[in-house]
Amino acid sequence: VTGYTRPLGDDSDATVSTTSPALTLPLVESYECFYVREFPGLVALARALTGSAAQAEEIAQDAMIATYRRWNEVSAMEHPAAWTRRVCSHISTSVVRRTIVEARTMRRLRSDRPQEAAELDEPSSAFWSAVRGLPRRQAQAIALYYLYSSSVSETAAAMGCTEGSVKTHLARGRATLAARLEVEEP
Amino acid sequence: VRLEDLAQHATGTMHDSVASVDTLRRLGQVPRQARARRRSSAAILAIVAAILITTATWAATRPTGSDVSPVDKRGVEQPLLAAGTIPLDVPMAFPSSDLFVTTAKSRPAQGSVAFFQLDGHSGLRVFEHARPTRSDSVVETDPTGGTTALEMARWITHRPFVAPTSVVRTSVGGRPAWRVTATLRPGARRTTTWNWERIAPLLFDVPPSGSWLSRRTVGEMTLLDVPGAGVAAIWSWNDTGNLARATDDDVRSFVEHLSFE
Repeated sequence: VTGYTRPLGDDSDATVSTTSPALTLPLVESYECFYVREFPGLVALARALTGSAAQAEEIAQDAMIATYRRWNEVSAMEHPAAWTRRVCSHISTSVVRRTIVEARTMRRLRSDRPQEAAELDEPSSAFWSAVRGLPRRQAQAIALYYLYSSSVSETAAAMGCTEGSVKTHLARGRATLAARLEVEEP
Repeated sequence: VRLEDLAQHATGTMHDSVASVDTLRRLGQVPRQARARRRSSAAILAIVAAILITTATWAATRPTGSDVSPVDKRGVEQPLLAAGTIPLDVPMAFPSSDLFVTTAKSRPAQGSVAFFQLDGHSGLRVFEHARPTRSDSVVETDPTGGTTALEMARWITHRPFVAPTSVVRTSVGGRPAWRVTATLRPGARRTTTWNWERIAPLLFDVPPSGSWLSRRTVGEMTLLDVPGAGVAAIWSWNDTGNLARATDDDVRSFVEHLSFE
């Protein structure tokens, strides 16, 4: 799952190695490489925003499937990962889609028991629980900013909004978190 | 404790917690799951399209007012270019008219005939053996409604859901008849459902041969005694609340020239 390939079509099973530097086609990262690099982070993002370890994996998978189906388009974007993270955070905070994911998770749990996700320690659990208590966009901003050690501009790209909006969401979110968790705000 | 330190710690433990995720196994599932999702999406789209088409078809064909439409379900539309006779229990003759079309042969067995104005919102329903109906049912007879044309006309004026009106003497085909306009009293309750809407029933033979008021259906009833056919009811209606359309001179002239022989 390494190397660069032509963009995969939705139904294509074949990957064409394009590792030759002489190739004239624009080089894009293979979906497989992208998947391996991004999937764990998406699971963490989804778990942070939903609080459910079981659902998090399904939500991340949903985001990755959405990416797969539009890979030609997504891979040509300036920040493909930002698009996928945005999808993942939207699914995580969308009640309707989470309900669908929940049903899918239950089906999978019956047939294919996943490895147990590790429990979070108490301070971490309290922190992410407080994040989930924030307004939707503030929670997304905080989760994306910290989990990906992102800059404000990267967070803005993943949220599909301006840097100014991200700064506002982060500032308000941090203030609320500091008050709720009774810790010092920077 | 500083918020930044707590956030960094929580981020680290969150990443640790998902370290056990079997990424390669999930990657292998992507093509199959993508195909399954596409099939699901297609099925949902098909269901939504079917619902939309069904709804649109129903909306286009649903019965309105006192009857279905100027064209019956078989597409039979009969302009009254010439006078004719409808084979009711007592045959009814009608004059030629450029005002109405009719589905005269669509329900002869039910003892009624429907004429429609070309606007699609007005018409005449003529039926014999008219029977006063209770306000809560189109099949139950109200015994207080009387048995003669005049009694039924008066009964209509006393219905609690009918706005104040009065009985006017007229004639139909040379026979004495009584005419009464009927509109819904503001705020009146409509206690029966018919043709997908709440109605206040007036006179019926065997449904759908009948007459009623609804939020927008208004009309004028002309009643006459016809030996062999009980009371014949001629209900001129409009389903947009336009009483003038149902009671104008041309309509009344047409009604007066109907005859039961």
